[in-house]
Amino acid sequence: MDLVPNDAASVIKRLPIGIPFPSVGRTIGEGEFSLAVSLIWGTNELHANRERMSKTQFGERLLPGPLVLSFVLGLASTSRMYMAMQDAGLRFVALLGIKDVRFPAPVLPGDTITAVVTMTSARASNSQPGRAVVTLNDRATNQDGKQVCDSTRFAFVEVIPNEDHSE
Amino acid sequence: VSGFKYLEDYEVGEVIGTGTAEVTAEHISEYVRIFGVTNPLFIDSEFGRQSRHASIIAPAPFTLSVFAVITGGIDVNTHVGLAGLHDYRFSAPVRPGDTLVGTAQVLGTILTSSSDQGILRLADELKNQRGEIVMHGERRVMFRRRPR
Repeated sequence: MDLVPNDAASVIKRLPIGIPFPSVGRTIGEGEFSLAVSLIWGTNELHANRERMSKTQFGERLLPGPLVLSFVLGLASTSRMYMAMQDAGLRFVALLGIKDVRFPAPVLPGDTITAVVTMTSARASNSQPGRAVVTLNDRATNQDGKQVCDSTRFAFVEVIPNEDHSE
Repeated sequence: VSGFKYLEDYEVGEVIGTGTAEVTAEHISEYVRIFGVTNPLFIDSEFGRQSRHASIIAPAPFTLSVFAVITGGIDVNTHVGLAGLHDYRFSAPVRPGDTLVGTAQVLGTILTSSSDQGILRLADELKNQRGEIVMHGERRVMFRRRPR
């Protein structure tokens, strides 16, 4: 059996840095919109009152930013990024942080959004052997090609122990 | 003169919202189904038990969504929308059974080229029942400016 080096530094060299991984698309219909807003007890009229919002610059209810991010990260998990990371020998431990999150255009009921995930950097942890921090950029666009979310996240990942590769 | 609270009416240091919520396994489970999250960290109790977290944990955007609602307190008449999140950290895991307490405090404002709206900078902080900070960062919210 061939032994593939699986220390964090070797694994990082196999990561697909700079390659964009598209997700599937998802329509945030009235059903998804209402479920999502209700799930977080969203009573703010920006998200819950269509009559009121029809008189604003947006013309419709807005999906709350945290939920836009939720859909985008959910979509991101349908891209091949996670499989590519697993193939390289890494798995997620925790999301450490997000930065520079912007919502350049709103997500309205009926919109269809698609995400693209790109790994922009990876470095092995100095203090914790077998662990690394990867940076991922998540961008989502709607059906008109307008960008609705742009975000950068840092995730703590670990080398998958060799015995877990058994199957 | 309206009773609306405009961008100019927020003072640095003012706590605009504070609130608390208990995280349940059911709520996390509903969340992951709606948003299509498939990572075993959030959906597989057995995987969770054997992980370094010793249980399933809540996805970060779940925590963020709960926080945004419990700290509400925003005047809907002048609130335009969320402009962005800046250097947000998820410094400890959130597990089912945790009770979270959040506060949002005004850091300052940013005036943009727009004369009728600007950005309110908020310091967000969320702690668990042991007083550990589980999430903190800066949120930027677009508000209408006081008409002149």
